[in-house]
Amino acid sequence: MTTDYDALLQKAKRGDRLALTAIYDTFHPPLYRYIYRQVDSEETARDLTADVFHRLLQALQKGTGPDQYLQAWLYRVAHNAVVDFYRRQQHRDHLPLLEQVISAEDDPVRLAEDHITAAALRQSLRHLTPDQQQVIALKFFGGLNNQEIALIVAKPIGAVKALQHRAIAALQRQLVPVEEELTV
Amino acid sequence: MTLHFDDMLDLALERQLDGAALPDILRDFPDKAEDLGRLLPVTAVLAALPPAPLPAAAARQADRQAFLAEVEQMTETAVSPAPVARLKGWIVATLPWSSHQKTDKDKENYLMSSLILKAALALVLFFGAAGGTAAAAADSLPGSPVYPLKIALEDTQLAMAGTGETAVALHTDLAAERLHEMEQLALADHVPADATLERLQYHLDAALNLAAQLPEQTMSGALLQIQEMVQTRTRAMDQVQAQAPAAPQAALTQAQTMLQNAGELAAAGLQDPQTFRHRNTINRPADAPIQPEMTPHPGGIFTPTLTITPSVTISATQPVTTPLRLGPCASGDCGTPQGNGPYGPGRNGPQPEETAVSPGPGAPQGEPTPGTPGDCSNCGDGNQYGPQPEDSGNGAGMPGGSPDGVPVGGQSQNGPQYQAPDASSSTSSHSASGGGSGK
Repeated sequence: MTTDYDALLQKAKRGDRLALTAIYDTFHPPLYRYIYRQVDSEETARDLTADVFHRLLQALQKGTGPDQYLQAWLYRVAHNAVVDFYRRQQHRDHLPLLEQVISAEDDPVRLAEDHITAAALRQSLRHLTPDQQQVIALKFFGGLNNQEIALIVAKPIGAVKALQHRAIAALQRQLVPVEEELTV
Repeated sequence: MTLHFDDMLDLALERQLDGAALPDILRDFPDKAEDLGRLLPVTAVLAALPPAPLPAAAARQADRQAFLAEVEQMTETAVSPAPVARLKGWIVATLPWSSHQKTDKDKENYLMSSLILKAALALVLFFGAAGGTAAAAADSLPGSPVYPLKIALEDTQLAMAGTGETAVALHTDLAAERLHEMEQLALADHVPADATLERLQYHLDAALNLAAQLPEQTMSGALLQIQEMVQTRTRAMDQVQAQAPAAPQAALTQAQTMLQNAGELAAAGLQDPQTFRHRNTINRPADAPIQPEMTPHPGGIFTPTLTITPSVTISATQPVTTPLRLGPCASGDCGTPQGNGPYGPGRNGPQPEETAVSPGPGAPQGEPTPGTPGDCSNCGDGNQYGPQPEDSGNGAGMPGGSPDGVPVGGQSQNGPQYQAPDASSSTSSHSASGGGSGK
C-alpha cells in the first residue's frame, strides 16, 4: 500500500537524507523493543536493530529494497535478524545476561520477576513454529494489529488468527508445567 | 452467525489487551468459556509484560549518529562519478550493434539511431529547464513562488489518477505532503495558512471516500494505507509540536485533529467495511445513517423503519470534514424536495420541518434546477444524504474544483460541497452560509 511510509520510502530511495532520518526516528524505537523482548540483551538488541537499518540502506542502494509496505519489510528483516541471532547462539554455550540497568526507583523484585517471566516466555516461544513465533512476537512484543501482522507474514488475516490460536495453545501446554514447577 | 474459535479467541484477546477482566471476557463467550479460560491466562502473562526499556539517551544518540554517518556515506557513493561511462557501459551491454562486427544494416541503424538520439537529446535539453523548475517546485513550501506550480502538478496527477486505488494512494500521499509542509513551516516559526489545512482535509476526505468505493478486496488495503499514514504523521507531528514555537501550535493541533478523525474513520472501515461503505460513499457525510430498511406495508406502501435525525452543526471557522454534494435550491424558498438518490427517493411533496432529512417514499421528480445563493435553512433536496441526480447544479466531484476554492452548491445541515481548495487561497472556504451557485 502506498502510504506516508511509502512516500518516505520513495524519497529515501532517491537518497533523501531527511526521509531516511524520518524512517529511522519512526521505526527505531518499536523495532528495538520488538527485538529486545526476544533477545533480552540491550547490547544485542541495539546491534540487531542497527543491522536492520543497515540492511535497509544496503537494499535501497542496490535497488532491491521494498517498493511499498516499509513497515512490513522492516519487521520481516528484524524477525530474520532475531532468527539468525538464535541460530548463531546455538553454537555457543552461554545464556544472555540480564543487562537491564536497574535504577534506584526500580523495584528489584519486580524486575527479577519480569525477567524470569520474560525468560520463560522466550524459552517457550523457541518451541513454537517460526510462523507462530513471529505472530506472537509481533502481536505482544511489537504491539501490532492483525492487519499489520498479516502484511508482515504475508498471510491472510484468517491465517494469522489461526496461527495465533495454535501458538497460544502450544504456549499454554508448555508454560503450565513451568508455572506449576515454580509454584511447588 | 457462528464465530469460528480463532475469531472468538481473537476478540477475547482484543478485550484482554484493552484491559478487560478475565471473568468479564469469559461471560461474553459462555459456550467456549472453558477453552478460553485455559488460553487467556497465558496471553495475560504476555500482555502484562512491561514495555521493553529503551537504551539510555546517550546510547540512542550514538546509534542514531552511526546510522546518519552510514546514510551520509551512502548518499555520497550513490552519486555516480562518471555518468557518461555508465551510459556507455549500458549502451555496450544493451545495444547489439555496439559490440560486434558492423554490417551495412547495422551502420544504417546506427546512423538513424544517432539522429534519433540527437533529437531526443535536444528535447531533453529543451524540457530540462522546465523539469528543473518542476523539481524545485516539488520541494517548495507554501508561500514559495513556485508552490502554486507544485499544487498544479499535484492536481494534474490527481486528474490522471482516476478514482481507483491509485487515486486513494495519491490523496494519502498528498495529505502526508501537506502535513510535512506544515511541520517544516511550524519549525521555522511560520503559521501554516488555512489553505494548507483545507487542502489537507480535502485529501483526507477524498482518500476515505474513494477507498469506500473500491472493491472489497482492495478497500481494506487502501484503508490500511490511510491508517498507516495517520500513525506515522501523528508521531511526526507530536515531535514537531514538542519543538515548534507557540504561534503555529493551533494549526498543528487542528491538523492533528483532522488526522485523528481520518484514522478513526479508516479503523472503523476496517472493522465494519459495510457500514463504512454506506457512510463514506462519495457525497455522504460521515455521520449519515445507513439507509433505512424499507418494509412493505400491507397496503403496498413502503414505510421507512428508521427515523433519521442528523445532528451535525457547522462552524464558520471549522473546516467541514466530509465532502457533500448538495441538493439544488432554486431560491430561498425550497419547500418541495424533488429528485432521487441511491439512498432513497425524495418525498413527493412538501416536508414537515422535523422530517426534512428523512428519505421519503415518493418517486423521483424530474430534474433539479441549478441553485442560487439564498437562505436554504430548510431546503429539501429530496435526499440530503444521497447524491443528487447528475445535473444537480453543483460543481460536484472530488478532484478539481472552482478556481477560487470556494465551496459551491446549496446549503445543507451537513455542510457545503467541498471543492479542492486552491493553493494560493488562504481564506476559509467553509462558509456556513450556503446557496447553490450553479455550474
